[in-house]
Amino acid sequence: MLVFVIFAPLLAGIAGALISSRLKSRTLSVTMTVLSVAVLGASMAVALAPYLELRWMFLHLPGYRVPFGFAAGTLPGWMAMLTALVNVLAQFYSLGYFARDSRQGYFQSVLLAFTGSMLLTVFASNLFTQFVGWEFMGIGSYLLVGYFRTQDNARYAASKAMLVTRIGDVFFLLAVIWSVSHGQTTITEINHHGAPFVAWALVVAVAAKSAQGPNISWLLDAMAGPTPASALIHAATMVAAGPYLLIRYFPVLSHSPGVLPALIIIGGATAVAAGVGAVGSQEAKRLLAFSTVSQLGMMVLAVGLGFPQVAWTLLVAHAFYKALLFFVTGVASHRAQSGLLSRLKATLGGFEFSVLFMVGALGVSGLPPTGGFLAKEALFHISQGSLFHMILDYTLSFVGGAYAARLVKSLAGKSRAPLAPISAWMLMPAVLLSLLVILNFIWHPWVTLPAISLLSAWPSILLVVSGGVAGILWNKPFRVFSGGLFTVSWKILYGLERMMMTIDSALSEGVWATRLAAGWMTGLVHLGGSGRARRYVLISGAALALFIIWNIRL
Amino acid sequence: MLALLIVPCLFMIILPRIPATWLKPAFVTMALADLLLALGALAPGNVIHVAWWPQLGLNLSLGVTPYNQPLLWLNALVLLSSAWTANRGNAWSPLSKGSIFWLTVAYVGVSLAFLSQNVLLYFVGFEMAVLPFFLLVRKDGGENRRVAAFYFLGFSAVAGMMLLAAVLTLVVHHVTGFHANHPVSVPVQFVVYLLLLATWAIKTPLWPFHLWLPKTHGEASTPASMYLSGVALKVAPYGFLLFSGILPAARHQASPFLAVWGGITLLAGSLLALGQRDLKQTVAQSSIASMGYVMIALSLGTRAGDQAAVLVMVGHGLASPLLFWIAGQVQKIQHSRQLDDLPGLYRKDPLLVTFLTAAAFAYMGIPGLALFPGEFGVILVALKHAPLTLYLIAPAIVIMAATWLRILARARFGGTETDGSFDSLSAVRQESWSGLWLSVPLVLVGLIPEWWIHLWRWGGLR
Repeated sequence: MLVFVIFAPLLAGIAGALISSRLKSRTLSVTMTVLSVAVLGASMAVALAPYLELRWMFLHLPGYRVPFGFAAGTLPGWMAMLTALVNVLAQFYSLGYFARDSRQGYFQSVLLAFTGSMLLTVFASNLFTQFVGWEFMGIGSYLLVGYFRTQDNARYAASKAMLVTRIGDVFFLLAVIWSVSHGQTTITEINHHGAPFVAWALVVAVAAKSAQGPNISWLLDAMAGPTPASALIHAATMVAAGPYLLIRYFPVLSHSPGVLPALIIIGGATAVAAGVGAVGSQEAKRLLAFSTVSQLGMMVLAVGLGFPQVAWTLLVAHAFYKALLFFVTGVASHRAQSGLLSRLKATLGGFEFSVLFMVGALGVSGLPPTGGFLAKEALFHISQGSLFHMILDYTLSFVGGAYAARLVKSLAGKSRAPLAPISAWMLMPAVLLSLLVILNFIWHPWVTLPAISLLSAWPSILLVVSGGVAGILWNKPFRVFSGGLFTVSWKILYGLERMMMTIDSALSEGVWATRLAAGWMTGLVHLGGSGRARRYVLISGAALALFIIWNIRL
Repeated sequence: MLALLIVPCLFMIILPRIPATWLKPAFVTMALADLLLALGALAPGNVIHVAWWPQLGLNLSLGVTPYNQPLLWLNALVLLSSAWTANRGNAWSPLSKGSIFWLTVAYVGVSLAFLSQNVLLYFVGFEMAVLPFFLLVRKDGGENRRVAAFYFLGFSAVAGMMLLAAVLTLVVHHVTGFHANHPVSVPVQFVVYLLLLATWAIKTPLWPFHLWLPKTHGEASTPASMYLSGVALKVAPYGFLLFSGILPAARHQASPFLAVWGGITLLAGSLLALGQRDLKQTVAQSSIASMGYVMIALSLGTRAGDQAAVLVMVGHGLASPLLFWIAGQVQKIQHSRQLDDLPGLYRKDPLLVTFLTAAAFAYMGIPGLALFPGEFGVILVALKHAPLTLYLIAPAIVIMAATWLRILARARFGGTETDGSFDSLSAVRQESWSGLWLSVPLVLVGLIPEWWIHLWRWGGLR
């Protein structure tokens, strides 16, 4: 069963993407959807089953063993179910979203393969296996973000996503290498004996993959991809893999000096900066991307504060409401044929807006009755006792309320003209997710949270509401700093490359000069004439002259 | 094992009598027969020993070892794929009796060098693999093929002389096999090692001695490029592996220096690849970077290092011919290899772009493709024995990714959905299927390296 969950989506997805041009697109996409449902069922079975383990040797060099291993457990089981669920919903959504696209089958295949690589990382029982899934996810995101091949921004965004995450991957690779060369081939071993180097390398890798710190901008540009892909990437794969990894490796992070404070700084700063950026953005998807980065920052912050359970709670809650928001906003953009906030007014019907969209908005801002509220309260709970952390949390609540309100304001309104009908495939995932967001308010997988009384939560609710008022009043778009360093680094790289080319051509000239000198000397020999006899006379004459000079000097 | 050499020799004898229409099928059949022989008939421990000049210890001694067996498989496979590529009436992949003959000569030379168990046969094989490429480049190829061919010959001749000098010195000191129990005195070791180092630096190539490589590849025809970079480049690093066994003291002394040199080659190669505007040149320069990995691994002198080096060699031996073949197809489709002419390629030949994507990901070191196990192994051993090189390797990985992403960003994107039809290209599109010859092993080697590297746990000759 474990083998099926991990490899069926990966293999079927890759095969589907490769043969997509030879099959009827609709057939392929339906196949992929059915497979997705099967994978969801299988992942549930795995989560219920007793402990399972799989392990075989990938590479065996003298003195080094590189095993490939999987283990099912409680946390991986829940995470896999979450991933598989969001994938199924994204597949349903694509059935409607791409109904008239000739590459629908290809898209859904890649989506499934992408999910498979996430499941690979989720179930992996050592760092090496996680690295493999991590890399596959990078490729998957490259293909998904670059789906619209004729658009320049898709091409730019896909390359950037791959390149930026690649920088983090190098650090991940170094962490893998370190652990393998020290014979640590399971997560438990690394957690017990891992060096600070591994912890730091993982932090850098996660920061790149989850768009933390100076890496925000790739995720913003990645909005050039189709909506279902964005929903999957943001909710339960790729960027969510970062916090998941931090949760899995929490012990080694916590006993490496300086790592947790660094996580607080990275996560907190990113969360605030991205939240502010969301308030200033003009496009719906960009706003949502900023909000994802902000929420990921909060997860990193929670890990940094020493509470991976809280990060997990937030991860689950965020997966539900962020996927919901993407799906509903996607419907609005679909109708408006534009992603600009100013064009989205009155594009949702009564039910869509009041039930589906508002639930998502409440979740993202952290208001009851949603899972988002519980997660945010848990974050408050663990920050208690430190003024700095409390201020950070209050700021985040305020900003979160502001951008959620801005989104609500631009979508609100009643359309006079009848709205274009929307495929049931595109609405069904949203309905399901809004139920889950509310269910999440009373039920949490894996962790038990401290009881929170609604009355004692008044400061945060007050802040969210005041943030909401501010967000409604604020109308002016602005930009925040989101990783302009890449242009600079690209310039440096370009300069290096120029330097190298100059050296190369200088070397080439040098060889050429040697050749010229040789040719010149040949010419000198030929000077005496071109006949063999004359040349012989010339050479022997020169030799004789040298011999005489040599003797005279003696 | 002898059949491996006899089949191509017989082929060369009957070549003049083969009618022109049967040329390609015959060549492909020969290569296929040799591939089957290599896969089926070779087993580590096969040794053939014939006395030739026993007083000097110069004998004809061939043997299969766990180290050369994968390289022999690779050799036959790359020959097969190059044979498949050759076509009549195309300047960039010509099919003439001459070019087939010289490619076969090179193949025999390379096989001989891989199989050799003493310095004599290695030298013979090494030299046999040089001259054919001079002729192949000189005869067919691009505009500046004359200069390119002489570059190749000049550099190779210098390397060959150094090798000859080293071999003669060794023979004078009664060392002829690669398993000598009595190594020569340390000063002699150093002299020989330095001479050999110059040979390997030119032929591998290591960084400032690489000038011939881009020039040669820029002008060579597609099959010649494929075979040259796929297998002929591996003769020098394999020789390094062989000769290092008899020069332990010198190898030990040179190790840290060589590791850094390998790292510099890797970094320089990837920067140079980034600087190219021509697809084929990019591939050629990336080969230099891969050879940097090989050199880092070989310099360490550990068994794990040697095995990682062979892993990289095999991975690179699959990825780089594939890319050279792709560059040849691009030339046919676009009549240009410039990167700026690539946009929209995916509309003209989707299959080719799929292969290009796979090969580019292989070069970027993505798991599941052939170069990953090797590069992983190299970094693994480098961390333990030469951690300094990691500072050179890490940026090189990112630069390599940038290089190939830049190419993919052109080949996979651009164009408009309403471009006209490309029926005129259907012939070229049909050929695209031959990318499977190399891309299937590319994936298999990357996914399940254990299937063939278990060879190394066989406790035989070494």
